[in-house]
Amino acid sequence: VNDTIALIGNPNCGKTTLFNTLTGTYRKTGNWTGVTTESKDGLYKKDKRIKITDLPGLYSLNTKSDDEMAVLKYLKQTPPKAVINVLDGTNLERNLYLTLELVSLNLPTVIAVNMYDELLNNGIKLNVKKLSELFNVPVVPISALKGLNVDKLISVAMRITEPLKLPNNGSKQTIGNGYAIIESFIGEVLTKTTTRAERFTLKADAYLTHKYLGVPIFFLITALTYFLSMKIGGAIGEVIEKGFIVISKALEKSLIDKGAPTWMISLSCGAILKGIGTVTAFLPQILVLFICMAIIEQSGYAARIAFILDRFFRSFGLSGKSFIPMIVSCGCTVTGLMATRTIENKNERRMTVFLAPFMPCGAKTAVFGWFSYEFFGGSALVAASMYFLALISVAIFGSILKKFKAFKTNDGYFILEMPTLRTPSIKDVISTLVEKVKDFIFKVGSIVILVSAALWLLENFGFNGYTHGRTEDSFLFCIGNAVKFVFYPLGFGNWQASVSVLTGIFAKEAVVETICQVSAYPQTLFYNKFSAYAFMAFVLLSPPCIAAISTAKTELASKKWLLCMLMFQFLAGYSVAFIINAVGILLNNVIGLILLLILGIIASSIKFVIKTKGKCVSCRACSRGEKCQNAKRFTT
Amino acid sequence: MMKLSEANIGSRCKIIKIDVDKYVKTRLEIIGLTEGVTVKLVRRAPLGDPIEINLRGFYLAIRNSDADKIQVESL
Repeated sequence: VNDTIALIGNPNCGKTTLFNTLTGTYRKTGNWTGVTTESKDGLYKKDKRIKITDLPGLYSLNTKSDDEMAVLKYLKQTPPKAVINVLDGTNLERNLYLTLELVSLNLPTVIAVNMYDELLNNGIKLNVKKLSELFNVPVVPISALKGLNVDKLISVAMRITEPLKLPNNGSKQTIGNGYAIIESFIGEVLTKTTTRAERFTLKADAYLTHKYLGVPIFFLITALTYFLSMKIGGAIGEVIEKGFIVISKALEKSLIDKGAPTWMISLSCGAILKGIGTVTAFLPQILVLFICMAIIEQSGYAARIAFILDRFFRSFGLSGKSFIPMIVSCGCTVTGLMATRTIENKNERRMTVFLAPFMPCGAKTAVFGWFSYEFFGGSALVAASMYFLALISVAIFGSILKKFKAFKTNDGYFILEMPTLRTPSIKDVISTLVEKVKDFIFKVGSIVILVSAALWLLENFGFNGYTHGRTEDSFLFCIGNAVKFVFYPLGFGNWQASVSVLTGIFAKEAVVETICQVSAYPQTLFYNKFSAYAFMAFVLLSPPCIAAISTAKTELASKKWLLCMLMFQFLAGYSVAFIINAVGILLNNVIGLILLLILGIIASSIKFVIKTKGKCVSCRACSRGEKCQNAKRFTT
Repeated sequence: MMKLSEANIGSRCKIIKIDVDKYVKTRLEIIGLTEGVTVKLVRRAPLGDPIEINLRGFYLAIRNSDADKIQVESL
């Protein structure tokens, strides 16, 4: 690598799409603010000597926020040969503000006006020459998605040596001045008419964020997502499962014919192949979920969800902004936790890291899919209900966390750009899928095989060596029995279910894999639908997989908080599963009813104590009383 | 003079004074919500808060509690 070119621009101006086009990689994109939270390097696919760096989107360089400081530090420590300032051509006026600030970097710069195809299609004229004269640097109109002019852009970037210059000899002392400079020339650079996409957005938003229809539409879309995932994915999954059974039988037969030892057959067919088969059967379901999630994110609907639910989540101390990581977490908790970086308020960010893992990620959805087939007749509503249980849990546990100082947030600050709705690009959706399949193959190749083999070893060996098929002598039986008491109150206090919960730490897919491996009749592990549902709730809310935990550790940057998070999530999962199981018992006998009543009284008295402890008279939101800044606002 | 939060849906107004704390003010300004700019109130969220405004050719959601502290002049 000889030279580096850095991509810099506003959030959601298409930097990552350009990066993917230039490098031929499949980095996650989305039609909303802050999908990219970490800078990433890649090699230009037509000339591997050129390195391209994709930086997180910024509105400004001078407000000293964490992400801005990170970008500034990067540019200072490893100054690139050239900077490409990517601008969204359909939102030029706002995008140019960052360009003014880039002047102070004094780095060779080329301006790329993205979405040029859309400008052309809508008859909007862009005066490239004028813009180039104003800033004294070359301007290349491009379409990152369609690959229009992108190679020209790189060749221009490799030649430039000139830094940006402030247009019209203006001085940019205040932000208002900066915008005044832009206003002074924007009319000459661009003929502004609304684009077709904007007009469509206005019409669609009238329904999507409608006063009465907005919320039902959101519920409908969510339910539809899970319905498609369960029905389409489930159907393909069944075929895969049958295929694996056929392969497994064939392999078993050929091994017997060759006179292979029994242990070898049981390890390869009974454990590893079965494990891979069980997990692979979920792949279609996970993929359909990911397609739906990609469509929601890339169309721009995700920003509408944040807009609709902000008021609801604010009462629990969260903003629409912290809801973004939660939506992303519905695909994968790891990426969801990384998305918490866009939250500036440290307390709110911490709270989001604690709560986002509640959301049902693809792997958890696979577990729910299996359970709903085994216990609830394949109802997609059961899987969708897990999503809403997650939302309710976020609300309830969020309001509990809010009571603690370390999670208290300033009310009121929320700024979110509402992107123009766009047709998701097939290329981007496919690239999401390719990434997911790669991820999955890696997971199956490593964790699933290891877990299967480890389970097989633990199941077939005990303190007295080989168990000869007597599970009662095995290590697994001992481990399961040692921890099963913990799960008695949740309704699944048997060693098989306990072991399954434990393997879920490695990957949530392993939960079902384990259940199927250690028990020939999984239905017998749960005495009724409630205990099965309690198990699902526990899988949903208890600490996430090891990959997500290590991401959380990075995001929290503290071992103490990580430990707190794990305990919090365990308790959350435990209490919700307990309540669900208790309701099941309550519906079955009288002793349960009495027990539940007592617990209810204890819970409400605890709530009473918390509620009456030193609350502000004026707004009851904090304990600062008269000293509270907001007090005046609420008393008048 | 009135508050941005009190403007009618569909109406245009000019921002006169942004009276929020400095940090939030900077955040609003860098995204283009500067004093003197013309904005249009597009809609309120289904639960009444936040509100969506149109300015400088794009759309932005802000909360009522912030819009309460933004003085505007109806156009």
